Amino acid sequence: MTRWLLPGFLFVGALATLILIVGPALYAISLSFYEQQSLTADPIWVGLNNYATVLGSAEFWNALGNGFFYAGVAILLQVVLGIGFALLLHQSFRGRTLLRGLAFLPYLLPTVVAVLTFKWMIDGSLGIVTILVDDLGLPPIYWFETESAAMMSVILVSVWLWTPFVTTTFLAGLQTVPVQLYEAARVDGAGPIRRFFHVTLPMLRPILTVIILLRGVWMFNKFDIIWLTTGGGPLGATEHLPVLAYRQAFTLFDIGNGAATATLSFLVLMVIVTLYFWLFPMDEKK
Amino acid sequence: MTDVISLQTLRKEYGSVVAVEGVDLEVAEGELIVLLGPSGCGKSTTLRMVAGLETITSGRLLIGGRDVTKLEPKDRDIAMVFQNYALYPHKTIRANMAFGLRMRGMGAAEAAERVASAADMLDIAHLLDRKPAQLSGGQMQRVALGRALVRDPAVFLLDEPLSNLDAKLRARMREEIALLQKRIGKAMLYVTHDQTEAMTLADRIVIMRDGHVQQIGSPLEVYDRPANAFVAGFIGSPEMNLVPATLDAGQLTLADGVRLSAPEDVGAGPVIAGIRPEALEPSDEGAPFVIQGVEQLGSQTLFIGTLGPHRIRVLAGRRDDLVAGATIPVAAAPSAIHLFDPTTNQRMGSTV
Repeated sequence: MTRWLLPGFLFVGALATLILIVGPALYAISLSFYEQQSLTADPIWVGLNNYATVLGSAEFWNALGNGFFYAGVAILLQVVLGIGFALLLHQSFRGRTLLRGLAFLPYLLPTVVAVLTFKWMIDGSLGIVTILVDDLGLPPIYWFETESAAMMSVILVSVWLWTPFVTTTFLAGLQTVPVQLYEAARVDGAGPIRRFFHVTLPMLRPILTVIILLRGVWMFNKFDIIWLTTGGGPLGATEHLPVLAYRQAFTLFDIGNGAATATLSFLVLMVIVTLYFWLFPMDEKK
Repeated sequence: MTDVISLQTLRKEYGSVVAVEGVDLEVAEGELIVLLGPSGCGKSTTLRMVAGLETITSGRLLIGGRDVTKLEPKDRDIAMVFQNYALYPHKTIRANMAFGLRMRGMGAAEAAERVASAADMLDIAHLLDRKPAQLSGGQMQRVALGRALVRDPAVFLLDEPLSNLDAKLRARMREEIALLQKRIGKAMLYVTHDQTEAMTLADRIVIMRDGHVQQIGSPLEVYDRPANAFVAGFIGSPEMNLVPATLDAGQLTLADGVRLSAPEDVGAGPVIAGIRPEALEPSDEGAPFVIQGVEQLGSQTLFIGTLGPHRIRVLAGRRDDLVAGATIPVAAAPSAIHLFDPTTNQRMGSTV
């Protein structure tokens, strides 16, 4: 009985992975070699033609650049703010537990809810932010209407939603740093800032490495937040690879190009993650 | 000789809990003071107040004649060795030792020189490029000492530095610390709960309990003249026998028919008699000691048994002939019997 338990579970896991992940992925990759005008049309083999088209198009490179910018800035802000909040919540003060709970709340919200709330808040005629800005006598802010503002707004919502993940993970890590290290550093003459850079940060480097990796992959692949706020606009200013692939496949019904874009996005991510692992090895030799 | 450290009624409260109740202590240049007591007695808190890691609730602290009561640890001219070494795990040994110097703005060349000479002194020069995780416990302890040493402070503070080492290594490091301290001639405050460590290392021992100082004295002073029953029981190994008894005209009655000769100048009445196991000896006449267990220590034999209703221990020269179940008369020199007041637990009389 027990002899078959482990192989049994492994088999179920492998089967589920094959059916639910590997299969669809391979299917999607295979689609990129065909031309297909709808999901029901007969596919025609075109080899690497789709890749040539996609790589030759300006919108691919625009989307790639947008993706890097969006993911890069969003992660940077999430990590910096997340660590800052974690350090604050690590201090002891009244109501700390409550505040720690509150700080995690945004992460629990479905993206749709967060985006809708944000859209209401900045609504051109009713939004509380719009009214406040107006009451203060400031000119109206066009959150999603200009190209640079749209990107900033998308990043703002992303940072608000996912900074708590960094905060919570980092806070958990902070609690594992031996107090004596801080005391030794104090005796050695290191002030709060030097203690952060010489004790906290090195001690939490493994955690930070994982946080940046996870958040990076998630942000690079993040579809819903951009789709729900700007849909990639205005004029493609916030369109990144997932949105482009979706638009090609399901709006333009160019399944082949959409699949090619998605596959290229996957390859780009693979290269970046490999590079990341090479630069910041997880099992650093002591 | 001027005092390097002066603790003046140093007191620590956590809310309504008093952790340390007014410690007074003057430490001279080159003196090694051991703070000794069971866990929770306030010895570590006292040390941490001197280090500046705990705020001082009231009282004054002078180091090198300067009032440092409210100063940060870095401004107190102290260096500390922590129980768990507290080495920075991501830094090399060299960087660990140099960190305190660099933080104080010392140039790289001078810091490297100091690290090198401290490393030579502690025999860890070959470890300088390693990380702490690659070191054994004993080596980490040396590095922790080295990190304090390079700073050349007025005072060294050591918080149970040997408690993570195995017995053999602990004995060796103890000797090394004693030699090192004599060599550098700086004042040292050393916290431990191990009375052997205290006896072997200290110039003076400060024995604490429940936040109160029980006695301050040289190792032999506290061994020969414990100020109260607690100190008597805490200092010395095996532990001193403490038994309730009645004193009358130089006779100590432990129970019906169980009597020992006692010092005569104390008076009469109920007392607590303290007799060290090594002060009791099998003799021709004395109190009947019923042997229940025998522990052979090699050169000595430890007997565990009873005197009347009281369980006591007798440490004699090696005896192969006595076994459990035997009854032998034991006696102690009257001058070797310590008498304590049963209500206050304080020492009575002037027994030397």
